[in-house]
Amino acid sequence: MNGAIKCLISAKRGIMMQRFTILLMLLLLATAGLNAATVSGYVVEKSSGEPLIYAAVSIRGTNLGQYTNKKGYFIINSVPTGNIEVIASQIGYRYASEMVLVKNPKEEIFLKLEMEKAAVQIEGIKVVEKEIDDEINTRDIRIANVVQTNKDIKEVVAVAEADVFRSILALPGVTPISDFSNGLYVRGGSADQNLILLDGIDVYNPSHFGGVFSTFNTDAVKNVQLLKGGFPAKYGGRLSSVLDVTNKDGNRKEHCGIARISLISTSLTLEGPWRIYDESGSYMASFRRTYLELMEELIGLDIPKYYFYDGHAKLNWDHSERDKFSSSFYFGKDKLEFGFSYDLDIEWGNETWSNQWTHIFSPQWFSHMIVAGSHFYSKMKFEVDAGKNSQSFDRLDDVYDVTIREGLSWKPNEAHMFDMGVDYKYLYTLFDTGTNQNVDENSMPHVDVTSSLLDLYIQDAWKLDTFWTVQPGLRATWCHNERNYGEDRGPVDYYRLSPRFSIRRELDVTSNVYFSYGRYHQYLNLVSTEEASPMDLWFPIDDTIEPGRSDHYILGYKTEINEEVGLDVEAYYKDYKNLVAYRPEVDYEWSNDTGVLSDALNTGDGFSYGLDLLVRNNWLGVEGFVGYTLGFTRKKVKDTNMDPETGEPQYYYPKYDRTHQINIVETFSLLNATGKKLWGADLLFGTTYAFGTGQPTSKPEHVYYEPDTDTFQYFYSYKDGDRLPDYQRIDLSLKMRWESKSMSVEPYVQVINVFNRENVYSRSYVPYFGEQDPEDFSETTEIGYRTEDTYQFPRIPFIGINVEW
Amino acid sequence: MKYTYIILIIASALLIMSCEGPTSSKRYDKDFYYIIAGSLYENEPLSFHNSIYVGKTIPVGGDIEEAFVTDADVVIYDDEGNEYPLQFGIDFETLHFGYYNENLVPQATHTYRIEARVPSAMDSTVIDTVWATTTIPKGVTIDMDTCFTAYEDSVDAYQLVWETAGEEHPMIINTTDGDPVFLYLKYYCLEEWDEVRMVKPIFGEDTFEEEVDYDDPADHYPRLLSFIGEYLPEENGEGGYRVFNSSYQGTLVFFGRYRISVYSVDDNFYHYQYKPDSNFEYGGIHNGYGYFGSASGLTFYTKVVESIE
Repeated sequence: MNGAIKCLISAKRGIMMQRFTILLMLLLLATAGLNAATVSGYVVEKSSGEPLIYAAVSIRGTNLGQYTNKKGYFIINSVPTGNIEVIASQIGYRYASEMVLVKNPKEEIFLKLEMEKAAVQIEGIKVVEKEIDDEINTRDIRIANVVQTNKDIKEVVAVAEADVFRSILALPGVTPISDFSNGLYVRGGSADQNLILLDGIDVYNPSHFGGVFSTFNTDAVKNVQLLKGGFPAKYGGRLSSVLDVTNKDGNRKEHCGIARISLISTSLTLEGPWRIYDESGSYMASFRRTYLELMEELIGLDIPKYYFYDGHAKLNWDHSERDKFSSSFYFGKDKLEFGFSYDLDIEWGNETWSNQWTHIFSPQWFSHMIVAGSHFYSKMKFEVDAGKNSQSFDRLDDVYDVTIREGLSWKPNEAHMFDMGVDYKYLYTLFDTGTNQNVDENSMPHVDVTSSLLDLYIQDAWKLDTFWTVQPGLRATWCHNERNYGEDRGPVDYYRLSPRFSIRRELDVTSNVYFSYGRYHQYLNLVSTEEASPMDLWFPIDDTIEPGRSDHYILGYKTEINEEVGLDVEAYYKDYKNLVAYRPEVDYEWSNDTGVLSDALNTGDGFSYGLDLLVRNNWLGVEGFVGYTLGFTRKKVKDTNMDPETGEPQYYYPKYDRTHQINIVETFSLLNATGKKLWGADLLFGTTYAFGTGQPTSKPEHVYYEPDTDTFQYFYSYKDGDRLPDYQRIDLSLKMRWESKSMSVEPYVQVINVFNRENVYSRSYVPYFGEQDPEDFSETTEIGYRTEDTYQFPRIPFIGINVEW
Repeated sequence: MKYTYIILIIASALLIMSCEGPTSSKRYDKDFYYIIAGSLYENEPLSFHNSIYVGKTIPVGGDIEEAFVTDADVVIYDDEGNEYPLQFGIDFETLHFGYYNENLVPQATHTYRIEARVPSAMDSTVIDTVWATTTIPKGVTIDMDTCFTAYEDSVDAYQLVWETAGEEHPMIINTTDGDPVFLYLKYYCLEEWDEVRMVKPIFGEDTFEEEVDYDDPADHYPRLLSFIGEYLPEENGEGGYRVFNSSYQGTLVFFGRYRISVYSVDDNFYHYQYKPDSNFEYGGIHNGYGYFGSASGLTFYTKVVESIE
């Protein structure tokens, strides 16, 4: 009987894969183009040789054009014969153009266009310096897509230093849960639902302690692309969003560097070209370390010992115009030691490596191959040192990821542009605990699981006519998991199809409306409270926990009102199935022999909807944006937030639900506004304002007496029975930038939380009898509570200096 | 025209913003819920000292006097068919109150059922019944070290030198067999807040500026430190089983007199102590909340000192 069922299942799987293959073939056949001349190549920045992404390349006098991809590559089909002028443009750069003679209709012309930054040194001329802007009518449909360049990141005022994550958290639709956490909560998704990529490989827990520093050193980062939803078929494995971080390639023209020194950290970034015989390329290396623990020893402060370090390195080899190779590495480690009446050592870190090969088979076929790996670990050791009778407790979490990815871009003609590829991912997750105490070893979790994920995807950006573009896509995934602990339950396989579809109507050259639908699956979950931390645990799925699923529906409108102001509006609805949440009872019930993941995780459903509004401005020297988000997120999880009458779980607004959010990020440049300098320097004034509705919380509803502790205890409301006070913060910065051809010096002053507003971080409730002592109810017998709050960042002034050469 | 749209959108957003974020409706919307809270202790009569609390919750802001039920008909049944009616007692001096019957002496592995029949607040002819059962766990004992005493009034003579306490005077908890045991340990410092000194300073401080920092009214933390967990006893080589607790760091955190309780506890109490979702149905009480637990163990005293006084 079982054999028959297995046959039936495998036959169904066979039919599914067969249909997928046929669909793929039909799409390919339907788009076979006629032979015509092509112009392809790279667009790079003139001073550094860095590829420029999303630069517009067109042929003057025609409507033929294309935007460069992440590697700076473009291809234009159906190019007419004769003399043509190829033009590359991007905001912040001078036009680059090249005259080309196309001799015959089969000719393949390869170009390298170098664009020069339109920086100003002459008083009286106003220049827009933004490197990348959200273009409006791009060739492919970009949904909920924001690109933050290195310069954008540095413009957001952040504690201590510019921060990749803080710049992302300032965008509409992205919710910061507190000043102390870098977790990204995007449009109602939790922190683990973001796919965070660094040069194409997953980074599993990108945060340093306390949320002050982000994992990535901004000086080493070229750009960050955030896809808040509706992301294309080439991305998968997460339910909510994608944060795609690209390291700098390194300057291909000259050696240069950035050094930063402050009281708590130092960083150094070096980059430059290399050449060995006929081969050439570039390098970039960056290292950063904090030394609070040394300050603690020097000054004698009695604070926990803490430090972190991280490093980025990248080596590029431009073997030929058709073949380019790169290898990049990242490593980071945090170490925190508490020494109270016990010793608590916590250590965590990420290590990644990524080898990439881009190959141009023909102008129409662009290949991008990645072989990469990632390792995240967190260790905790609790030790009470009592000589030979010491007590200890250890905890280890490991995630190993090896990924092989081949992506192909094919542009057979001007109407179609395909992205297709295959991803293979091997994952090993381990959670191990140990103690030297007489605790039942079977109850001390040891969970290790190996997983294999194979994904196939295809997507076409199909320009139907002048106005309409559709973008269908499909991602097929096979997930295979095997547990290596406890009883043998056999492997478990899941097959999932994730369709994507977008459609766009161009209204005019500067505005369009679009709709997007996408289905997404997630095969690895973070066991966490609702505030992400490096101690959270990654778990795969098993036969008791199915893959998470979400459906995104997005309706958007995008316009450039004029050269100085742009507007993006997006309404979204997201539906979630098989969300997971930590099940606290497992602390008391776990068995390695029989334990399954549903013992440790509760599953549930949820949905979120809302509206993001972004007004971008670059007007009279004031550059930045105003973002507003109206958002609602609700979820319902088994055995959580139960109705006491029915015993059924109830929907609730999770901690990261924010009904209203406003972010204003603006920078005023004296030079851009007036063309004048102050003492030979540009004066830059930056401000960041953030407002957020108070986070949901529970509050006491009933009181009862507990004789065991002789205290009064509370019955608490639902998880969202109350809200903390609204969050508001204003940060200011003032910079003077002296620039010459060889170097720039930029001293700065920053003040975080200028008005020292007490933004509540957590709230607890203490039994309270009127105005009297909490335990004295001799005068009144009415019992209530008083609140005790802890707060987020107070006012923090900061000074520093940045030197670049 | 487009600027008008932007102004309209921003104005609308500001208007919407003036609204508060949504919250859920009330969760516990009854006037009160019944509470049973208390434990039976192996071989100890259910005396007034150990009495079972039967009461009600009151809404926040309500009158605490409403929390007590004095007219309940409370009975405990054992698994041999015996019936023990409980009587209500109150000591106004210490504000201690509860139901008790000294004839009931719980025995290990026996099961007991409590039933509290309370006249309904809405209609006194209607009786509300709240009930629970517990099985007394197998007992644990302590090797009474030379530093421990069973009597509080003699504690000054039983001194535990902090630096060598774990090595020279470990706590040896004996169990009846090698089965896993839920152990509940309570360490309560008997010193007052303005006299107490920490064994290890935190951020350079070893005293407290305010009493609330030493004895939080919500849970008496850190004056009271309690630990609960599932332990697997090991053979001690002499045919017995034990749990070896060899360090007091993190448990005895002040110099001075301590009351230490070590109990093996039942499922009800164990689960009640871990309350993931607002005490919801974890203590074994039907038609109410709280816990009806049972325990087996003892309480003893010691004085933590820097050196023998």
